[in-house]
Amino acid sequence: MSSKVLQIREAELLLVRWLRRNSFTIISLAPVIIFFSIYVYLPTLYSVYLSLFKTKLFTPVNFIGFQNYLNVLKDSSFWGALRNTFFFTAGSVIGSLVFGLVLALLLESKMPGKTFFSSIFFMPYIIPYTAFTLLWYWILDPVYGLINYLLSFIGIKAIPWFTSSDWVIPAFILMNIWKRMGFAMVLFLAGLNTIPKELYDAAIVDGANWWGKFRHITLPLLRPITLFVMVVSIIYNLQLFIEPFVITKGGPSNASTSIVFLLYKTAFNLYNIGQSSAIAVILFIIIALFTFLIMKRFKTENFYE
Amino acid sequence: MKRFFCLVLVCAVLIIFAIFTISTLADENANKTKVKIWVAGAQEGWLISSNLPAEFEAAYPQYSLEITQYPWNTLHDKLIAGFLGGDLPDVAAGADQWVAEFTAIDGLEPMEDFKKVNNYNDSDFVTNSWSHFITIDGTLHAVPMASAMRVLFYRTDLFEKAGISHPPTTLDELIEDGIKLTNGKDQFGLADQRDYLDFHFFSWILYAKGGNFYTPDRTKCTLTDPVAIEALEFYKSLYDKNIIPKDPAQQAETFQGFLQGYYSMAMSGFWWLGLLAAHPEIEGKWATAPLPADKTKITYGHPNGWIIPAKAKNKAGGEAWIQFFLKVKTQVDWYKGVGELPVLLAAYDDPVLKNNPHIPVFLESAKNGMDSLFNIPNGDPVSALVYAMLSNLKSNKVTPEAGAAAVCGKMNDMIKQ
Repeated sequence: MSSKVLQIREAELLLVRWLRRNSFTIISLAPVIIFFSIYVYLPTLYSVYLSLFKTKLFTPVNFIGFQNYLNVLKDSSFWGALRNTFFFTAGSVIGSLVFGLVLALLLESKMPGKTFFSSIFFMPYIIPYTAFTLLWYWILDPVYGLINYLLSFIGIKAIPWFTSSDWVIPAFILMNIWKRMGFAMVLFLAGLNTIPKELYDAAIVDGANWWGKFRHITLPLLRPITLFVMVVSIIYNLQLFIEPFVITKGGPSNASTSIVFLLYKTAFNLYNIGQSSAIAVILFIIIALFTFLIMKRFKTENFYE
Repeated sequence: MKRFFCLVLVCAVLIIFAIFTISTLADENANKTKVKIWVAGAQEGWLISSNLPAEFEAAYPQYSLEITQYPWNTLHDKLIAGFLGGDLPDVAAGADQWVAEFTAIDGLEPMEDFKKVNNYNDSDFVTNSWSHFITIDGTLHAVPMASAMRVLFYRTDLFEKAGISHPPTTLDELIEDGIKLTNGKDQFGLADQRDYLDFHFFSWILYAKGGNFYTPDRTKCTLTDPVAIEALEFYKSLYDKNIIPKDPAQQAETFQGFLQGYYSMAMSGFWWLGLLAAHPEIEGKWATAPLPADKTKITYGHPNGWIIPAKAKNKAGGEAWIQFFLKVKTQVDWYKGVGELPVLLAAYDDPVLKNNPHIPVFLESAKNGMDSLFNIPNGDPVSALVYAMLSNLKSNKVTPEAGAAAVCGKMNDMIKQ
């Protein structure tokens, strides 16, 4: 038998052996892979395909290359939406990280009712999104809202949360921090529990105060968790949609129009599926770029050495 | 143990099969053709538990009804998905701005023949009920379902306190009364409107001034015309004079503000009748009036309609439902259950409507004439454009002329699509 035929036979045998060894894994993963292929990967690929066409609803009509992308990049409303989305993402990510970490540090200490408070702080995360949005619509009403009422006790003038283009994104940031800090808290709590207590003991012996221990032990060893929370938060917050859709319809003066809201309007109001697909692809590239840069910048090191 | 679980599983399958078979055999609708109806909004869900399905099935024994209620935004998206090959109803409630939008994508069945065969005359219906659904090519693609006129709600107690004997009937009187009713702190003359309600509010002023968003053939934006600029200036002056709170921090939610006496007047629709009735503390302290007029009495208002998808499986059933709906008794029952105002003028003679002191105001408003933007395919994007411009206008980021020019620059392309 020729060497080539022997090589093919050997490859076939290796494949069969590999399949036999991993048959349980393959069978277990098959439903998920099929599901994701049908409902996620194929529609994503079709969306990229549609972005290269002038479309009539979801049917490609004329191939126009990158014209949809050029139209998007030339549209001032796209840049406005991008600016709004970045501003929202930056504020939400920093806020939920900081508050989540603070809560985790407080709950990590020995205190009564720790489990109860953990549950309370996590609860906003599981409230259905539309209900949560409508709740905050009233909490942030400039005249009848709870926040302005409380601020009036410390002499702060009423803030026009949803009625001013300067305050609408900060309003969304506030809502988002409240909703997502519990998620960050839970992850940070888990991370804090993995830090060896001996390190803190050694630091105490060396005369480190609270800040020294936090800066030189806690923060560095929480880096993997921080990285994870940051990446997940960025991915999530760059897809801001519910708040502008339910509360402000992108206003006032398009100040709360986000990239995904713009994508929705382009697709389902203007029926320009090709251009909305181009927006989706651009958003995907932005998210992928952010994720790559963050992962590269905060590469995991062996902090125990 | 294994045998026991197998036995349990087999029994469960047999029981489920038996239930299914019995229910199918017992189904008295097995010989009837199903008519699928989709309605919108929590209030319209009343239809499911009302007597109307039984009455319809008694009148049309060959049909059985299957009614599903969706939130408004969800219904729009469900219909779009249906037009693309998904599930479709035989008849659905349709917001007026959807009709031209769905017609443009060949989603709807034309309804002129339905109107002719059933001898429906425009004069038997509230003004503009049928003509509102005629799209730019002259075809009719929806049937009127309910009227959505806007009127002026005003606080009679605050008017009395300010020494004002009657609600304003002209835009000039609106300004005069608004100034008297405003103290700039905890009371303002007129309510601020949020998101697209602000666009409806401006529409009223535009029509009252004799203007419109586009030419009669709906091909060119007319917001840069002198009457439209005058309307924009009037709208802006309401904020500049603080009749509507100029400071965004003072712009309370419309209904709450009216309820608390923060706003002395507000433009709104039929749904406020039900909302105000649920607050007995305000009973006797409010009334309604037609919206103030100027060069014309035309105000913002429109019908909502019934639509039949072009690919519906049972169009005859859908038409039967609409025929049943456009009977006086059904219209009155719909008003009693849902609160939406009838389109049939004869329904307003029913005591439940005639004895309501506010209904004649709505009817007068309709008779004076009402109009709205939404009989062009891109009604939603155009209204979003105008809404954004109004936000800039009232915060002095743009002049009326510049704002109108910017809107027309984009609108002309949108309404031609």
